[in-house]
Amino acid sequence: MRTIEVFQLLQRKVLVTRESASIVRDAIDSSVKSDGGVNLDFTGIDAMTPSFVDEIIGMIDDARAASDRREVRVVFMHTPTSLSTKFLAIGKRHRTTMSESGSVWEMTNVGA
Amino acid sequence: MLGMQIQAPTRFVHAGDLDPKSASEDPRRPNFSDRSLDIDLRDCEFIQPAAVLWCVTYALLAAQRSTTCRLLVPENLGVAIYLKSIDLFKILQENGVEVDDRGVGGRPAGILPITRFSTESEVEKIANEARDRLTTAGVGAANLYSVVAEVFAELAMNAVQHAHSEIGAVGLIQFYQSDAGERFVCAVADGGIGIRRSLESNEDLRGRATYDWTAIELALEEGISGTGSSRRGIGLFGVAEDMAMPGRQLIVHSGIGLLRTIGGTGSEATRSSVRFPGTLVSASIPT
Repeated sequence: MRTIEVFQLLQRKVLVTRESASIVRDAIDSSVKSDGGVNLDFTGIDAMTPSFVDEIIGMIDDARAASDRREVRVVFMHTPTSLSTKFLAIGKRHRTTMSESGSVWEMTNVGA
Repeated sequence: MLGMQIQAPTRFVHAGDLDPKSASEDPRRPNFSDRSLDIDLRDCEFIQPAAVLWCVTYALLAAQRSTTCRLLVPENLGVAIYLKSIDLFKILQENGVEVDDRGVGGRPAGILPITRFSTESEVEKIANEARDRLTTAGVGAANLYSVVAEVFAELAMNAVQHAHSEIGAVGLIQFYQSDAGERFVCAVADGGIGIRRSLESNEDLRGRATYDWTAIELALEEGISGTGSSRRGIGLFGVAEDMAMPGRQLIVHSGIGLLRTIGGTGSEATRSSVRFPGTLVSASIPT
C-alpha cells in the first residue's frame, strides 16, 4: 500500500479543517484504487480534529465506492493523539472498524 | 440617553457572577442602541478567561449598536496588567470602546492573547500559531500541547460554523500558575444565536432543545448538530469527552443556560440569572 506523508503535503502541524484534508484526496483515491488501501503517516503532525479525520474517512468511503471494492484497509501511522471515543464515533458513522496499537490506528472500511 | 452600568464582582469567574439586575440586557437586540454602557471592573481583584471573554463579547456587541461604551479598568494594578497583557484593552479600543489604561504596563502575552476570527482558515492558522507558541514557551506538560491545540480548534470551529455572530468570535489560550497548581485554559466566545437556536434549525431537535440549558446538555451528546448532517455533531461531544478526565473543567454558557463540569461530573446544566449574548465555552486543563 502507498504511504502518504501528511505533513509533507499540508506543511502544518495542527490539522483542523475539512478543506485541509481535501489536499490528500487524490493520493487516497489512487492508492485505494490500485492497492485496496492506504497508509497515512502523521509524522510531524501535533494535533488533528475530528472534522479533519471525518473528512479523511469520508474520502476513503468515496474512493472505495468508486473502486468497486467491498472493503479497504487504512493505517494511520505516528498519530499525534490516541484513538478516543470521539474518533471511534466517526468510524462508526462510516462503517469503519478502528483499533489502536501504540501510535498506529488500523481501520477497515466496509461498503454497505 | 439612558446610562447602563454593569459592575463586575471582586471575584469574577464567569458572567453568571454578575448582578442580573444590571447585566440582563441583551446587546444583540436592535433597540439596545439608545444606551451608554459602562462595564465596571474597578473593584475586580480576580478575573478568569470566561469572564474576560464576556467583557469582550458584550462590549463589542454594544459598540456594534453605536452604544457609547467604556470599560473601567481594575484599580488592582496586577489585574489591570494581566488584562492588558492578554490584549483586552487593545481589542476593545480598536473597536470603539473607551478604555483608560494609563499607567498600566505590559508584560508578555502568554500563549494566545485574545484573538478575533471569523473563518475556518483563520482558525487553522491561529491553532498552528498557538501550537508553536506552546513549544516556544515550554510551559506545563508538553504532552498536553496537542490536547490544548485540539480543544481550542474544535471550540473555534464550532463558533465559526454555527454561531452566525455579527462580531465573529474571540478566543484565548493561557497558562496559569497558582498555589492550586498549573493549568492551561482555552476559551472561545461569540455573539451569535446561541446553542438553542442553532440546534432548533434541525427540525428533529426542536422538541428537545426547549431551553438554553437543555440545548447545552443536548449539544454535548454524540452526533447532535443543528445542521442535521450525519457527518457533524462530534465537536462539542469530543471536547466534553476530553474534559472528562480528572481535574479538567468545562464551562458552557449560552443564553441563560450554564453548565460547569469538573472531571466530567456535574453534567446537568442550570438556568443562569445572567444571559450570555451568544455562546462561551471555557476548558481548563491541569498539567
